[in-house]
Amino acid sequence: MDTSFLEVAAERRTQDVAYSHLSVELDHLYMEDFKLGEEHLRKRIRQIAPWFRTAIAAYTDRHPGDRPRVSTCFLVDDYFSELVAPNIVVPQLLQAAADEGLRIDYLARESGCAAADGVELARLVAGRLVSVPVQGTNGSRPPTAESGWLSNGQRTPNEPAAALHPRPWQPPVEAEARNHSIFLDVELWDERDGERRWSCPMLAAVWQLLRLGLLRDHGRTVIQPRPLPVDLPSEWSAMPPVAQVNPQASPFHGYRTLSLLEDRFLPIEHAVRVILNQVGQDTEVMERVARRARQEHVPVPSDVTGRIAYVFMTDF
Amino acid sequence: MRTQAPPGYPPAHHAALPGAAALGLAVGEIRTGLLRNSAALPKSSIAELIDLVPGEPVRQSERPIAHALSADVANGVDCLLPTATGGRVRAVGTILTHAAVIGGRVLQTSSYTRVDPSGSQRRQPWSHYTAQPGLMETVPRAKPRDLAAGYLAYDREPECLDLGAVSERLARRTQSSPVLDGRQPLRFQWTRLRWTALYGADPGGLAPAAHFELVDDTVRALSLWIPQPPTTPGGAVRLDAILELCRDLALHDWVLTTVTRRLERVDPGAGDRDRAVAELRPVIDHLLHLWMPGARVADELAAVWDGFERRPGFTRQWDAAVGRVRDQLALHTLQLLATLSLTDAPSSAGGTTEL
Repeated sequence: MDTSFLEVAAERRTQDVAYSHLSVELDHLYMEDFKLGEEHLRKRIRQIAPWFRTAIAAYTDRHPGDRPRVSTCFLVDDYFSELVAPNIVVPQLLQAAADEGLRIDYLARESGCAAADGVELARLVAGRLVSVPVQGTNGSRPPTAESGWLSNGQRTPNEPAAALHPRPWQPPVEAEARNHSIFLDVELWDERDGERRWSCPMLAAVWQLLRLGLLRDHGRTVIQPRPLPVDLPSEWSAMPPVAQVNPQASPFHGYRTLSLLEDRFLPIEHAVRVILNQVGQDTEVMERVARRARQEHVPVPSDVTGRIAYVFMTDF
Repeated sequence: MRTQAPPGYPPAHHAALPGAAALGLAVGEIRTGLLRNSAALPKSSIAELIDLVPGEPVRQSERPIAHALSADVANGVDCLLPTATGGRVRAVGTILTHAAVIGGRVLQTSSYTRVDPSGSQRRQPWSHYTAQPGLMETVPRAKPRDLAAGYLAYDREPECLDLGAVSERLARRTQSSPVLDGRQPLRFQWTRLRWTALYGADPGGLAPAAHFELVDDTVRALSLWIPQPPTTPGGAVRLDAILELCRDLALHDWVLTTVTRRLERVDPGAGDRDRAVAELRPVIDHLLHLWMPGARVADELAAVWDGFERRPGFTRQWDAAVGRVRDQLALHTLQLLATLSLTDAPSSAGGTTEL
């Protein structure tokens, strides 16, 4: 007799998402930018358009074959400040993009990277951080963690203020230094009135993982795009975390991401990469993405930061 | 401490067979002990106790015994691995640690890693290692059998991988959780099971082989050779099944050790049967129902348990121990009955009868 027995609670099922070849982020604006008015917005969009066309041409050149599936997205910062209402900003933004021949497929709000649909995405990512070890780390000591901070190496050792024989200053060390260190210590969050406020690099790291389709909560996908509301709300919190603007758009998630950013975001993205390098990935999700990309003949780099590309734009 | 390479280890020519898949290697260390809680912990509290990774479930099952397994926590390492020949090789990567609670009473913390000995020549960018948690890569090329034997032969060598310390930290942290009431139901010793598994690379399909060694009172060494490990439908080796086997062996070794030590403390010759029963009571309350060897072990690995049941015969020794516990109880009951019949009925002056 052949019998089988299964307890569903003991299983963890991993959900899949659909992928574009490339998810392109069209600039990132602070609320201050929106406050500067419609003309400023148009100027920014005008600046992006040629870089976008160049980037797509470069990608197509590198990956000849069928027309690539590319989706575009735009992230609005509503986390650190909320000033201009969506029913004012969104139409201006979409109009400016249309006038410049740019298509915005998805509109996301940054607060969605902190928490969305009852899932605290930033906390999921923070819970998976695996500090980069310096040589000699063998597990015998707990990892030196400063709550709310993540570095790319080893900090200057602490010295009690009243030390009798103060040692000479010891430099911090970048774990992967090439000859010399570029040590970076990133603040992941702070606390205000007992509430955790995530830092911009932390949310941007979540944003990259979200676009790469690598985040799961109990195996389930997080944040599926919802249609842009016909009647735009006056509060950002009433907007979907990721709104689909273009009903014909390629999938929101991409095997790779490209971010077209103004050069003021250079230090932020350095911090984002320090974080992303240290996120322990979900092995099963990684394997599934790699398998599907292989089947489509667009193999993805095995590490996450290898899937992320940038164009830093300078006003010149 | 040294252990000999078990007789079942693959002969050298196996690894050299052309076309054979590479021999896989995993190493680990498991701590087993009793939760610091006076009664069995309910399911919801267990889920809270070992909720180690946000967004990852604690996997719980009820049959044939309540069992809960946490998600894996990763830690980064860049250190040395000893080889059997006394050498050291540098290896970089991540190790994983999880906790299991069995029967609501026993806590196991288990750290492990797979080792890829093909030699990466230099340390890779850290994102390379975080993309595949639970894998260490040696920097120079090494031989898996050499690393497996070296891991068991050299315990707690300075600068070498210390999986035990990571398991121990998680055990301490778990034991101090506010979810527990802090009351230890019985005195016991934690055990450490250090294990290695060499798997795959055998086209012939030999039966698995295993070697279990009681190194001292609390340290055990287990080496496994699994020529045809269980695989997923996609063909990947199911390391979780090997881990389950190791935890199951560690659990039963710990229960057996704890019960037999308790019996040794109870000296039947001394005649103080009240004390004997008081000593054995926690064993009955907390441990006797935990004996279910191999219940959660994958079919492909069941042969390992079967082998240990033949020799040394874990269950044989267990049955004998349980028999002794029951004998003590039976004798105690007889003694009580004899006392009762001597005093006849309880001579109470208006009081209640308590039995």
